[in-house]
Amino acid sequence: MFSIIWRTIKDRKISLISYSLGAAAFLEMYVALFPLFAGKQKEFEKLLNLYPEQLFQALGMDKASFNLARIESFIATEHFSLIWPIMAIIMMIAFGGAQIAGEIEKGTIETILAQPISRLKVFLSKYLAGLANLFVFVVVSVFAIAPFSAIHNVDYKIENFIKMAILGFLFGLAIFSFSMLASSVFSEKGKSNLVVGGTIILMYVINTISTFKESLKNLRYLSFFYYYDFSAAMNKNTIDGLAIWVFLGVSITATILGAVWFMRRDVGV
Amino acid sequence: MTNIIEVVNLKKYFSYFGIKGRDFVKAVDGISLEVKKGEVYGFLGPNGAGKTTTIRCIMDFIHPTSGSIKVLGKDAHKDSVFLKKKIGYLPGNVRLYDKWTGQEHIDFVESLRGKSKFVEDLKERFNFDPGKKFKTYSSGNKQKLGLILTLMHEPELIIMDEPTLGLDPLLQNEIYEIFDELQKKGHTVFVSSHNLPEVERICNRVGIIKEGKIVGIEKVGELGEKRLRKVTVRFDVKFKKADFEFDGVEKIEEISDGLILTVRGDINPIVKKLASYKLHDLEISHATLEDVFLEFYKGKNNV
Repeated sequence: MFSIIWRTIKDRKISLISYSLGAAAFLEMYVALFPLFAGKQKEFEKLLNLYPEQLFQALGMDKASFNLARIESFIATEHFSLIWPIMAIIMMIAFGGAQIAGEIEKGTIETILAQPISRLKVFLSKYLAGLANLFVFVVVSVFAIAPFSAIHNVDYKIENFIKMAILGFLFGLAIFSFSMLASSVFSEKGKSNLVVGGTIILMYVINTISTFKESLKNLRYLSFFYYYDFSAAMNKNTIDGLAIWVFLGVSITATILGAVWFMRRDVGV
Repeated sequence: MTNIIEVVNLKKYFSYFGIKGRDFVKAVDGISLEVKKGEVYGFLGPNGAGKTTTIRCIMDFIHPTSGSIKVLGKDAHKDSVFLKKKIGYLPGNVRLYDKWTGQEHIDFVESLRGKSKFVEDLKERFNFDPGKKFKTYSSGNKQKLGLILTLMHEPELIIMDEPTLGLDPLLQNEIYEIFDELQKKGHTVFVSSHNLPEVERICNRVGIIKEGKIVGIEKVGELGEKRLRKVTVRFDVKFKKADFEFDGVEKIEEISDGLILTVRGDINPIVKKLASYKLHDLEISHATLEDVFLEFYKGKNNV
């Protein structure tokens, strides 16, 4: 199993390094910009008051805890609201899609399945490689705050970033698990990525609409973006227990379904 | 003799979620075959006949609609992991990882199967440079790498799907020599092909598949006995076509100053008859296995 895990990680190393360093570079940019914004809270409050409340809700931002004097609030708004989740989503969808569907499409899956290793172990090896990938991405892209804040002489609360890393990992895990399920079902990487990407976009739309329309309010529970409360993690150092259960529940369910499907399906038709 | 592969009434139908729509295909439709220990068994048929589907069922890449497959006395699905230790598999049109070098492929297989004692010999024999990335190899070198990965652990059973497809004659001959050696060492080989002279060259027995059904299983030697011969004769004297119309002569074709006779089985009656004529030229050639195959197909089609 280890050799498949290691080979999978090695094959994706360029992608992992690019995404991790890319996300870290964004973080560095925001930390470098932070001193320019800090201390201008009152001017920004005036500006923010011009925008409707729903807009903040739709973007998952807590206006009350928006405080430009604190790096956590600034980074949450600028980085973890959109850029970071987009990078995590793209990276994990691409990783998942390439693992089973991508290998079937290229025909390389036969090389692995001709070896004395069960399909379950093949699936789990690829899954564990994905987890390792996600872990490295989260650690590098979130905890890069430590060196960057030291360079720019900015104070930060490590516990809030730890919470953000946990939330980000769970969010990425749910997307990756869903992607592995789709990858097990389809025989083409493009189809797998399309289905997962389309579902994620739909979730984003559902979450946004549910904040504008009271009658559709309950639809938000169907969206990962409702549970991905970066604002609470970064500003209040909290993660909703329901979010943990939902992300873990989706991950476990999708992983079991994906593994069972892969074991039962025809490969190389 | 022990059966190494035993396929009984194998059926494989492709459909979307069991719905018999326009995509419904009977790829394999009730085939049965046995491959004995130490035998080189040719699985012969045109493209789309069901050869690769059968091999994929044996390899447990795809699951049969019905029927049973036993390899080395064990169930091909339930005991798949155990059996893969004993099987070397070469897919048709070898597709490996573009970004890996040849050596990385070899290392990967060794990490799953254990260290190989034969890999260095194989590399040397094929004059194979393992330091290059797979995508940079020529089709011949890609096939060589596929063969090295298949043979490097000297598996008990070797399954190859069209192993010489697209290869130059030199490499084809190299592969034929390997088949000879494998057979001498007592390995069992199951090889699919639509190249009839190749099957004739390397196999002991041949199963002929058409449209998902086995239409014949023959020993290659016995196929020879059933073989057609073409007798092209030119006479120096007048001849009677009717003199050659007897049992075993399947077809008589007139040419200038002579005849072309298609003869099945014993050729002696023809030779005796020809001896009574003064001949200008005589050529007796074996019809290829292809001719037999086509004849066989024609016969089955008429059934």
